[in-house]
Amino acid sequence: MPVARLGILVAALLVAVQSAAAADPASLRIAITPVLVENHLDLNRKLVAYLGEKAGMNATLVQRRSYKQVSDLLERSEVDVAFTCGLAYVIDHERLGVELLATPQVDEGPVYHAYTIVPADSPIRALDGLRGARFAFSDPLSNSGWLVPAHALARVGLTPEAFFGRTMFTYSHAASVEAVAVRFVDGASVDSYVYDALRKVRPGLVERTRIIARSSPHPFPPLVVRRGLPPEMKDRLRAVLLGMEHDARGRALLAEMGFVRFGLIDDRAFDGIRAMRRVVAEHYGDGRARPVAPAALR
Amino acid sequence: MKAATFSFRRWTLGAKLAATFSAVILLVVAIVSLSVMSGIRRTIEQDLRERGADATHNLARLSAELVLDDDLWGLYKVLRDVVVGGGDGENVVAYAAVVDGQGKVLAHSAPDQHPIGSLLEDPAVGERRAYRSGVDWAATGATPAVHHFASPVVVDGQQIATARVGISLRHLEPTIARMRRAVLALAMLLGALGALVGLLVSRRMTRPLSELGRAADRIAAGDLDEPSPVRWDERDEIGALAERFNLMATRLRDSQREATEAQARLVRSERLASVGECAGSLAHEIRNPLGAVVAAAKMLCAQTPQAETYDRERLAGVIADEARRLNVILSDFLVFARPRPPVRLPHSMNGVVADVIESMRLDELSAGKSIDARCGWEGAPCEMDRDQITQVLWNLVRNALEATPPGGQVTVATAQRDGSSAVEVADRGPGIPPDRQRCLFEPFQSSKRGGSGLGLAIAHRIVAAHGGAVAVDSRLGEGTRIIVTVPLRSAPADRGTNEAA
Repeated sequence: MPVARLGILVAALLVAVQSAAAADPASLRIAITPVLVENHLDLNRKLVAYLGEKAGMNATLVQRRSYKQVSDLLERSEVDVAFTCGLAYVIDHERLGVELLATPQVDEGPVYHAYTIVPADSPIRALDGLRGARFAFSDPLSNSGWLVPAHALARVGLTPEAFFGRTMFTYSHAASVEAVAVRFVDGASVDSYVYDALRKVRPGLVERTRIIARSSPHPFPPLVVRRGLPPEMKDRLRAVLLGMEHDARGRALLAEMGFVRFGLIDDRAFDGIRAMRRVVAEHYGDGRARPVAPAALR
Repeated sequence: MKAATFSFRRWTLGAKLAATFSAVILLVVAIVSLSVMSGIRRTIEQDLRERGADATHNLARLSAELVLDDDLWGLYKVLRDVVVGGGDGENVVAYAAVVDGQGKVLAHSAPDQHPIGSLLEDPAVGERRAYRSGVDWAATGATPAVHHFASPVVVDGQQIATARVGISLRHLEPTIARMRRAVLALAMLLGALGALVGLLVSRRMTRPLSELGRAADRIAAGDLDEPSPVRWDERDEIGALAERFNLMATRLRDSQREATEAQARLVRSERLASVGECAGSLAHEIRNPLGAVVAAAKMLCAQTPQAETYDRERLAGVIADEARRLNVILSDFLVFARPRPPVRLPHSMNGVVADVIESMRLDELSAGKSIDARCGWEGAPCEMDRDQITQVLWNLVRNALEATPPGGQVTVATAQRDGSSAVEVADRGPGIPPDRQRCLFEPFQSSKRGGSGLGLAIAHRIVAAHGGAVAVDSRLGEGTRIIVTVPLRSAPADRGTNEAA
């Protein structure tokens, strides 16, 4: 009964695949925070639709405000793929076992920088001038929007709370740029990719700001997958992402997002971030931004 | 003001009506618009207060979680939304802010002016009052006026912050100004419309009035014959006026016609009366000498041949005298009844006077009276009918001599002045009583016996025919002066008459 045995085997495989593909084998949930590209919801939808179509999956976009919310979704396996930040990846890789899927590459490579910006007419010329100032971070789990400036301060034995007069999180690099432009804050640390993208989309806003510090290159925020995502799904998605540059629609989408291509990246690329985190952790224990109590309840 | 009143009086009816219409309309529009605009202002202000209170209340509600999370940027975005409003273009929120327990800014819609941590002081103007779970106080002194609202941010019954909103009234003024402009334009339009209506109405009303005026002018010019009634078919006051005017014109025409006819009748009857009177007077004048002739003739017939020759001669003399007198009366009467138009040729008035005095010298001497001639300077000859003027002067001088008592003197003086030649004949007789002076130049008014009673009447008629005048200055007991004035040159009309004659 080889045929029957074969049929049983196929059936068993099907069941296995079904169970392996979580609750709904046809569905793929991709989480993106607005940290990266605010006002690009449309673009995100197009990317998700492209991925779902090419990978033959029913892909849906899940938008969350902060990296923490995305981490929580990954922890509960409520999303399969997430566009997250280098710092969030380092922490979630360690904590939740999330894995790198691919990373976008810009002209310079799979890297970006942290810019420290101030209002265009501000007299401040360097990070040191921001002592006692109002400073905006983008997200407690953001590399460029939190770890880079915190690390710079930690190296001189300071914490952001001690150095700045008042800090806050805007949960968006674009919002940080805007907060500086309208002088809601005296300075902010933002993602160079977002800042440069904004320069094209909202030049009036960027013109009202000025870069006073540019960090060394850091690995670009990667696409990660949750622990336990079936390897063949991961491979399929990775194949789609890496093949985008060979596909007209994919190329158009890449160009629209300001990327050259998606490429593979090794976990060791994030060792720099891990090192910075260790330095900051000496001041914070766990290397994560400490929640700030509301002024009114202090 | 006075000048304006004065000029208004001189305006035409059309201008007055148009101006009055416009003024009334403008006044009404002004009053209505003022009250409407003040009502609208109140309504808008109340509406703004409602919106301010709502906005503050909502802001307090929305702020609670953001304040708890210390999400200042999120708070700022909410404030910005409050200030920008619902996108209806009317941005009435001047500012929005959330302050902590110490009144320090957590977020303000104008971060560059009110940075985080700065103290947001309460505007110290205006009266604070509780308003819908918050506080509202109007900073009325500020320009533009701003209403301030405050509402507590409450979490679990505990106030953790305060939401603050300012509602600006700066949009109120442009709105009111816009409405005022619209109302002004409307008032202008209505005023112009009123002026136009006034002009049209007055034009319609003054047309028959002008027609009445023209008709009145025609009547004033004496043109009563043209039957042109003023037409105005409407049964209003002007229609009634036109009707009455037409009635008046008709009656005026009728009464003038009657007056003309009555005048003609009067003239006719007066002429008849005058003829009768004249005939009576003539008969009376003739009867006396005729009676004397008849009596003398009877006496002659009755006398015997023995009668003395003396008597016969005396009676014959009486008859001859009376017959001559009859002849004089009839001659004078003919002259008076059929006057001959003067034939005027230049003569010296002094010469005529000298001839008249010379011809009477005998009479004056016989009566023991004298004539004193005082001829003045004569610059130019006088155009006159010499025979007629001679007769005038002869009559006057004779009358004067007759009125003068024996031994008295008659003065005849001539002069030239103002283009006329004047001759004054004066006596020192008894004078003429005033009641007789009035009819001195009427025929058969002589008071003396022996005259024809036509001398002065003829004199008056001749002088009048020369374009001259006869004046009388007489006082009882002092004497009489009669002055004859004759123009040196005949008037063109007179000359025309002369040529025609």
